[in-house]
Amino acid sequence: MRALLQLLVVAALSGCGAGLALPTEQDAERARVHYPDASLDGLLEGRSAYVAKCSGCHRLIAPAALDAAGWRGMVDDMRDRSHLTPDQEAAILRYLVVMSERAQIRT
Amino acid sequence: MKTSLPALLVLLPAIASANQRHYAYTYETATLPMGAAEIEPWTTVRLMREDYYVRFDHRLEFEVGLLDNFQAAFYLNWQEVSSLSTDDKGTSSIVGSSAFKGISLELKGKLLDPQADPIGLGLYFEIGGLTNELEIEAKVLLDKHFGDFGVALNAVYEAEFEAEVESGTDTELELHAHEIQVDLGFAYFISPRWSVALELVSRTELAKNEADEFETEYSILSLGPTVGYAGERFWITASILPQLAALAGATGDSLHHLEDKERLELRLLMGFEI
Repeated sequence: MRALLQLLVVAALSGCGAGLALPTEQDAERARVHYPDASLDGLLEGRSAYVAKCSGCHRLIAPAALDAAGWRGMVDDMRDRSHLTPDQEAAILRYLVVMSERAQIRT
Repeated sequence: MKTSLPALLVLLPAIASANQRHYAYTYETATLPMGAAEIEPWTTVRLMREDYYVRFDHRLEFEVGLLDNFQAAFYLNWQEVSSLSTDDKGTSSIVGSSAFKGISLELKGKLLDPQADPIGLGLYFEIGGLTNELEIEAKVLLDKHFGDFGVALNAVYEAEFEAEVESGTDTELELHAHEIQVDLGFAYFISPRWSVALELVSRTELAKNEADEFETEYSILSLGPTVGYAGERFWITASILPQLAALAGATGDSLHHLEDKERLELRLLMGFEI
């Protein structure tokens, strides 16, 4: 049991399985093309809101799994069931779209 | 990169479930978002002790997200038991009983997320009882997702109190047992809807003996598979958990502890978004 726990902690701390992309200042700069008021803090808030509002009911979907149009449809569909305020909805959508675009650029 | 429409059509119905549990015994750190609520009927069937023994433990849970990382739940508990009874003449018969087993209140908080943070961390507290019994349970929850795989580990402590008559009408609650439980689960998320898991459950109970001292009543290991399915607004999780062996308190020549625990448990959990 102790060995399993150690394995779990080491794997976690080494970043193995780190699933949810963290935005950087570069992402914020790129985001300002579409969202002039975008900031790194805003993207981080969107990530936090995505975790807080969505992970309670299902596993989080990687931003790269959908493109911008896909995420708009998804967030629009889940808005009421996740009890999102308009600010939370906007922050989550912005985070997902920007990080999806980052994945698109890399591929 | 997937195109938006096909991916959306695949993902949208599959994520539309409430607070899905991938394990039947091991808790994950996930909590309902603020304002979300669900009803969870539970049934645990406990089969075969030394003699014929069948017990159904039913729980009806109402769960609500108070904050985004903090939820509360209220339970109603019932129990039905059928067991072998032998009278003074040595005649055996199966006797059944059914009883309301009180209410429980649960509080659960998530401190770290298994996908967004290096490791998921949560705390769980439950208090429950009847008019003459009280149980307090605390759990530390750890979990982590590695792509399509998940692992969860719980450390659980439970204290059981019983009302004792001191003199006349004076009563007081007296601690009569401690239970220490460790739950470990490995899950494979086959698809957004289906998951399978293997769970290892270790239970150790220390109870008061005739000298009023705590001693190990039993220590048992159980291992079994769990399968989970998430529908649009509901989920189902089912598990089979046979007792593997008793590390302490084995009954007679048996490898198992069968005085207080069963050879086999079956558990069915369901959750419905409301």
